[in-house]
Amino acid sequence: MTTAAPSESPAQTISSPDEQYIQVKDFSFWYGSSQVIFDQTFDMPKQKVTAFIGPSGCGKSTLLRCFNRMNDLIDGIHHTGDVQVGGESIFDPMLEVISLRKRVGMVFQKYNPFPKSIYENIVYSLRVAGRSKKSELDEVVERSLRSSALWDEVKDRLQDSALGLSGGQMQRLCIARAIANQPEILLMDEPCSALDPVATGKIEELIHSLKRQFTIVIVTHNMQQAARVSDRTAFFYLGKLIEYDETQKIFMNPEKSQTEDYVSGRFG
Amino acid sequence: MTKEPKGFDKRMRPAGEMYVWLCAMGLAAGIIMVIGLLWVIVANGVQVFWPRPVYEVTLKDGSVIAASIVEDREKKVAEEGGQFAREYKLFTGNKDAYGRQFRYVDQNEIVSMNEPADIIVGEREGSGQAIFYPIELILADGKTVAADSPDFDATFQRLIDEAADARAKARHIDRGPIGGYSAKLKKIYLEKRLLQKRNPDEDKDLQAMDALFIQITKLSSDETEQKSELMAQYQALNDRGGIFAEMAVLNERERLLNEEFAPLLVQSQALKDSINKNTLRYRLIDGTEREYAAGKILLTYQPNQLTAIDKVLFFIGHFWMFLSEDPREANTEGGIFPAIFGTFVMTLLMSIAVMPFGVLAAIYLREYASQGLFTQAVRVAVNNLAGVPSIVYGVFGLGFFVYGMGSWIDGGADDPMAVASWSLWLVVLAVLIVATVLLAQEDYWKHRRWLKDNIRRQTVSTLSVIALILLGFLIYESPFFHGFFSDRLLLNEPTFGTGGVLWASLTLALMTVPVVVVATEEALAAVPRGVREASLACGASKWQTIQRIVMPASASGVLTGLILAMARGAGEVAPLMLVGVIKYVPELPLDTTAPFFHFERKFMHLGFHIYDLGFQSPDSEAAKPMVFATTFLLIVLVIILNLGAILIRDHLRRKYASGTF
Ligand SMILES: Nc1ncnc2c1ncn2[C@@H]1O[C@H](COP(=O)(O)OP(=O)(O)OP(=O)(O)O)[C@@H](O)[C@H]1O
Ligand SMILES: [Mg+2]
Repeated sequence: MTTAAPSESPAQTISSPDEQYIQVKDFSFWYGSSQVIFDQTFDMPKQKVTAFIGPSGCGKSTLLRCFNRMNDLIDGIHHTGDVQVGGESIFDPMLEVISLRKRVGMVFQKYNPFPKSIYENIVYSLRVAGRSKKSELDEVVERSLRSSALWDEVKDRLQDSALGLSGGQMQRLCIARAIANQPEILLMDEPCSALDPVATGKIEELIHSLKRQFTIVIVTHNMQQAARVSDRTAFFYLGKLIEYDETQKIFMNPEKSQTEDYVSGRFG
Repeated sequence: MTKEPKGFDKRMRPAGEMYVWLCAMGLAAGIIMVIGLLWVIVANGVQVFWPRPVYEVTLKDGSVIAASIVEDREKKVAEEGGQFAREYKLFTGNKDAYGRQFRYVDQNEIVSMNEPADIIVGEREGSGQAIFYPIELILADGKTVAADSPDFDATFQRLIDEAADARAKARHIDRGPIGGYSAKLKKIYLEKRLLQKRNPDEDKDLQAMDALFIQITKLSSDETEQKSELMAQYQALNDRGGIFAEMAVLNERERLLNEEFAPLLVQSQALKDSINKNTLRYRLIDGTEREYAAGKILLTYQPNQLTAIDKVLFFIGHFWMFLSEDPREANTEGGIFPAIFGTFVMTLLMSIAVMPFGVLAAIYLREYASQGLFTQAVRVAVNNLAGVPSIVYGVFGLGFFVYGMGSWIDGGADDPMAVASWSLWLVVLAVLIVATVLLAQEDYWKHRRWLKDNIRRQTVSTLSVIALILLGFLIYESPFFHGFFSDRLLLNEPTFGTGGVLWASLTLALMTVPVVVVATEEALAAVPRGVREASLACGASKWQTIQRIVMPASASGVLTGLILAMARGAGEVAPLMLVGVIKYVPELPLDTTAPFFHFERKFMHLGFHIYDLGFQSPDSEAAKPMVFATTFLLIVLVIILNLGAILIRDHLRRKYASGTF
């Protein structure tokens, strides 16, 4: 019942290999002794939005957090198999985690702006990289805020604390922060789960416009959202990749009955 | 009994309502105790500054006393009928006449009490207050001004003012130019002593030479014959050259210095003499007449004629004097400025020292160390250090800072290592440092990493601790270092090898480190995981995350720790007695003579001052209100320092307000 077999992998259907930006190969992952990801293999294309769906606890966040090695913070983890970003293994011992994280931005489920000004929030990734030219920073702030559709709302209060923004604004600020340093990939872990429909709508529009620049992976529990924003969808269950294909296909005509049950809400 | 409404279910009464009252009672008890304590301190403390009326008390045996009432209390011993009579504790002043300042008088013995309008209280430079009726002023030129003459008051006030002026001028000269003069003189004197110490064989002759020099300088100019004879002897010694010539040079420098400063010395002495040249003759209430230098009376007032405004002004004036002046007469009179200043400097130094230690330790403990059994053990050990009696820290400070580091700074190691083995150890240290640095930077060489991150971190920290200890040991044992103050040590005058404000601050910093560590750890733990992850996801390193995100967010918690540490440190006395506090030292640890910071100096401290006044004073009765006043000031000082820290903390809180995490 495993979909991970290469012959079945939907990834095979996509032609040029350099289009496959994130490649997961025979990947398994353990927290201590409990395995939460089982032997997954699939590829995510460049400048497309890939959605991860699946019931709670099936390992979506864990997989996503492997892509920028955020799980390194947790003691006692280990993995087998490999994940490659742009053809390079992210577990290569010679690779610096910091440079990986510069290439892979992340937006979290709960908005988490720094207790600094709006301006400083956005330029943070540049500052830690040692860039501090005023004109450059100003330009980055404007560009990031414009791409995250926040510029008009905050352009007059850039020096105010970011904590004075509304929830939806903060989440868009976090997106602006994540894209400030021009990463190649943007990981989003349930970015809209704490937001109201209006803010959610804005962020979905944002994802649409961002995919021209970035390769986006988004975790969501909202089927409509997955259907609206993503090009490809992966369905996970109990740590296994059940089905991975064009979003339209997953929602209209899935191959596996489990997938159909889940997307139509008959699951469980 | 109130009737409960129909359908009221007793079980619906919220459970635990009782405990609200219990909590309120607990708080109330606490507040009452604190207010009670403050009240006792303030009420007793202000007595010192508030003028009290002076009574003329006639006793049954016919004697008369002029005194103010200090206390009205029940007698300790019961009368025959088993009754406790009441007695007054009276302040009579005039210690020089009576040999004591206080008297207890049975209230049954008193025939009459009245307030004589024209009695005067004079505060004197020595021997406390005098309560008297003036007779006359005997001026320096022999003229007298009788007390009933119209210009007595004006003349007396003029003398007091002139004396105050002269005192201020003399003080200015003594502290300024003459201070520099004494320092230079002392240096020459030290050099002479050193010359003698270094040449024990010629010591006798050198001493003779010195004695000759002193004799010559003492001779007046008309004793030419004797002088030339002595000069010849002196010259003969000088001609022996070498150290004798050096001695002569020093003597010559001393002579020139004396010549240069002679006018100032004379001037200062003249000013001081001018204070003593006019005399006040006065009569005590029992009829005895006494004389006292008019200039040594600091101020006078007629206690029974003061209006309410006068009393308030009197209070303010005396309070200010208490704050701003040096102590007099074994600390029982005058102000406590040096103690305030000493406490302030010590607490600040302590805060400066304790912050980096405590904060860095807490960062490592919370952020870097893997949270295993060992880390937990270290944490428990650190927390328990807070419970070690403070005197133990005093003993440690004395042994480690004063006798260890202090005498090393003064004179190098007692028993330095041989050069050869020292160099060998130096090589070991160098290898160790290189290894540690290479290992720590392993990330940056483009080789395969061969140690896991946490193991590498532990290895690096262990190695750096070993390197640090070895470095300290090698510095301490250095055969090439002989101390910065070895000259003075030769004369048995330790500089840092004795208690001082620096060592006291470091000792207290050590004592309060646990407080800061605990508070900082709590603050670090309270920084939400979300922002840390966000920072790392932005490509920040762990240290950058700590420095730019975690530290600012926890700064207010760290300052809470500092506030607690200051409160504990500022009020501590026991360890200070071992590491640098003394009873009286007018020189401050910060002043205008280079190098401005004199952290090796001993200092006065409010807490110790309280102990000294209350339990070591020759006249503890007189000192008692001062004890309260000093206590009050200590509390105020701690509050002011804390308020400073609290203001900074609130500023930081506003800046990093973290409502939305
Ligand atoms: N730090 C951790 N240590 C141990 N187990 C963990 C840890 N984090 C997650 N897990 C376990 O790993 C499994 C997958 O968790 P994960 O957070 O990836 O699920 P998810 O698919 O993101 O769920 P959700 O949709 O609820 O966010 C769960 O069973 C969870 O209990
Ligand atoms: Mg999740």
